[in-house]
Amino acid sequence: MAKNMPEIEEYKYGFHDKDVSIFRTEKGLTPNIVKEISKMKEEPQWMLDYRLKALEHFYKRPMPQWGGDLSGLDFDEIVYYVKPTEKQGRSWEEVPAEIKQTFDKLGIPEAEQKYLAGVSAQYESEVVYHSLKEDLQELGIVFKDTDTALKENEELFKEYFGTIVPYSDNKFAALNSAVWSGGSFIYVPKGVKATTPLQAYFRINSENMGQFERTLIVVDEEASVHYVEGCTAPVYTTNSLHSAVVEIIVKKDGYCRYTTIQNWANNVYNLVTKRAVCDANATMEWIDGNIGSKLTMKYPSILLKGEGARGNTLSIALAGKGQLQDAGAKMHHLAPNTSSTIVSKSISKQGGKVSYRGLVHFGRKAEGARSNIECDTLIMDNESTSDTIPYNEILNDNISLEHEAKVSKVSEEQLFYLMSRGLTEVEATEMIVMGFIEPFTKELPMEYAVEMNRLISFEMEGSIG
Amino acid sequence: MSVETKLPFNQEYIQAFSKDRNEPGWMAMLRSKALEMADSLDMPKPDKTKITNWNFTDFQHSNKEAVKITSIDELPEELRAYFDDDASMENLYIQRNQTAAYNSLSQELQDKGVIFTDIFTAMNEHSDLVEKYYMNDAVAVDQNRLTALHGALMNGGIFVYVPRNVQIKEPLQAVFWQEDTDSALLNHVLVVAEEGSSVTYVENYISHNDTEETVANLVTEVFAHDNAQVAYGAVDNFAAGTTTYVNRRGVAKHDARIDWALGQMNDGNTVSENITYLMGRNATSDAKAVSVGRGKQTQNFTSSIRQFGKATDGYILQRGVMKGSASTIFNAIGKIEHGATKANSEQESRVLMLSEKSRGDANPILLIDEDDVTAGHAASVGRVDPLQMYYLMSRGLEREEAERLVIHGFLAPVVAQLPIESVRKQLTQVIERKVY
Repeated sequence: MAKNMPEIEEYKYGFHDKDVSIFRTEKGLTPNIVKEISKMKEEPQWMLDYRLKALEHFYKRPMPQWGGDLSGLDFDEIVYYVKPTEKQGRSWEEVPAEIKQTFDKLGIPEAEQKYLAGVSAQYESEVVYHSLKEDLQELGIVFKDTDTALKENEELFKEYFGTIVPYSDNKFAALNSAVWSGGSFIYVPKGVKATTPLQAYFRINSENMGQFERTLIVVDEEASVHYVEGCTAPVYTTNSLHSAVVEIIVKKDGYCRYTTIQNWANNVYNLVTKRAVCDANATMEWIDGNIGSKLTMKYPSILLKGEGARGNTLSIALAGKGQLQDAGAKMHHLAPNTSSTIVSKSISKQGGKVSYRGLVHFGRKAEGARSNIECDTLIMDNESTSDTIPYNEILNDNISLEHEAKVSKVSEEQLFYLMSRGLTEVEATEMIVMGFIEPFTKELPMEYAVEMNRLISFEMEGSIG
Repeated sequence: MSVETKLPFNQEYIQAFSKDRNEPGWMAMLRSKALEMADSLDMPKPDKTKITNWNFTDFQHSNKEAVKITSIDELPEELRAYFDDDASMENLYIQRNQTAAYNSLSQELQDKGVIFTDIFTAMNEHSDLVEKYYMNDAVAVDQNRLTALHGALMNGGIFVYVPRNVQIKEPLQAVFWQEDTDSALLNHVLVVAEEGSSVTYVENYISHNDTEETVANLVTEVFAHDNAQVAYGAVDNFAAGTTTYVNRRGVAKHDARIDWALGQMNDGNTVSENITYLMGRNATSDAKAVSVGRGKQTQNFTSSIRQFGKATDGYILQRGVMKGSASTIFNAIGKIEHGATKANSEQESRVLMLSEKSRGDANPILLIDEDDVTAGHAASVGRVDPLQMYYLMSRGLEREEAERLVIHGFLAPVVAQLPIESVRKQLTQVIERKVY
């Protein structure tokens, strides 16, 4: 089948506004910049000490030699902190017009519908707009940007911060720990179930600006929460870096779902450490979509350390021209009768490369644990490639692991069938792709599912000639 | 050059060794260059297994010539099990330590131009032919420090050559018997099947050094030209004292086929690489390997099929049974290169865990650079299937007997593939011994 490869359309969210920042650090990273960030934020001494220790570790740690090519990343060319406005907007009206315009283009006001409990929109490094529905507040749920939480909930914050992803975890966790700014902090008290999803939008606007948000979610016993994070960023010619750290604690019988759709512009290095810990009978779910970025290296991980804990990761990755999506999942079965599933759907097109890189580990204590892993890849054309690299480490005899993977192109039989029913080749292909990722989209909140379908359809446009 | 990489062998030693065996000039040169390289090359890096503390370089390299064998009765009981009772001792090669102790090839095959002889004789009598294939296109001297070391110090092996359109029906068998417990084996097996030919080759490695430490550094190179078929069977059975590096590679041209059936039953630490290059269109490889890990041994098995040719087919099957506190990593890698349209790649890795202290990793990896292909893999790790056990026990079998049957069934894909009855039996016995 002949396939032409038309140029991908201009990035949809690739507008950028006039820089309205009132403060930005110089390019490059020195202890003074870290001190300045901490001072601007009026942080307690312990946080500054933590940042400086992390910075030292960052300097020492070598660049990872696996995954994607990081040679284009110049740490001296990045601005580590930009504060867009002096004050955090309390209501939509207070948000400055130019920033508001950017959000308007992204459709944030519409997004704040009945499905969405709160919006914590991050514009560059500071949260400029934040609201939480009153009923959630009454339940005692804390949903704040991370900086505010450090000020207002310091004890709770200090108890958990850095305990799941220590700065020594990897080079980019160290970088994030040194210069983190913004992100979400969520605490759901014992027995409280948040019935509607909490949501935050992140966005990079300035050229050469790193974004280092830090998210910390604590779900207490028998509590439950669904957090939704979406990312969009404008196109620039030089490279930006997004290096977030997400730490999640799900206590006994708790439930947490974390949904991300990452759609950074394709000049962004997206190097993210996401990890959750589950106590007994707790459930953690990562719903992870990777559409954008130049290079993504992200392997959401779950430590199942309490008996009967469950972990699910459901992810899709789409790599187009010039993109490498090196994504996957990690499951550590550390306790008896823990269970996990991983479903990964990958698509590569127009010369893109998509890799599934995963690890499922069964420890000595994982008696009766089980895991199912399924990785499917669709390669759209002759220039695109895919790797599937799942590691399965088994140190226990009483476990069960099943792993399956398939790599294929869009089947000619399916195309023929659909086209014989009157669909054009483009429509038929789109339908097959939509069907392929349907296990993912059907898990999204409705609005995101709509946006996701729009994005995929938009990305697929012109993929078939 | 750092001290830790310093080898206990120098150029003079190697040249003298080569001269003793009347090797052609190209071989003496290859040895010399390989030794030069060995110091600066890196050790192989098997995925997920650390071998930095394994001894691969300190060993006793040569020993005195062993006594030749004229009849099967001269072999110890243990070894006789490797031959069928009515064995004609034909088409058989027995290597005792590093000496070609017995070698026979039927008159019929000799007349057809088949070569089946020890590697040193082959280098003397068919120098050009051996030179063409020896450590060129399959296993390169400079691949890593161990292949370089092999190149420099090769001390045994066999050459199998099947001329154009010659089909050999009966299997050729080689037994590499490490009678002495202290000497290292750097064995080289070279199999060349010319266009339209076919051959089945089966080898056994045996040693007895349960406590004495030594090294096996083995290289196999198989070439299947257009339309040729090579079926390669092996039972590796080195004792606990041997640290093994075994590198078996095949190159298949148009419409050629290379099948592997490897029973990897060593008791010592082992790194095994089995790589097949499907260069020609329609080339096929079916690579099967089974292993039983027991005691404290650590093993790493990598099976890889790299597909360059269009419409090539690559199948990998790996099965392992884990006992004691043994640790084994199974890597199955299917790689489809750009341009290999209509290629198909499948891998299956299954591990049966019999002990809570053991470790068994199954890593099926797909690397796909082409869209018009089909590829898939499956892996599973777990206990003996309770349903199968229930069924067998409901038919009146004791638990132990039922489990034994399930395990034999689990390892059957390789056992059944071996063409020589005695070797099949022998592998079954080894499995029995290792599992119980």
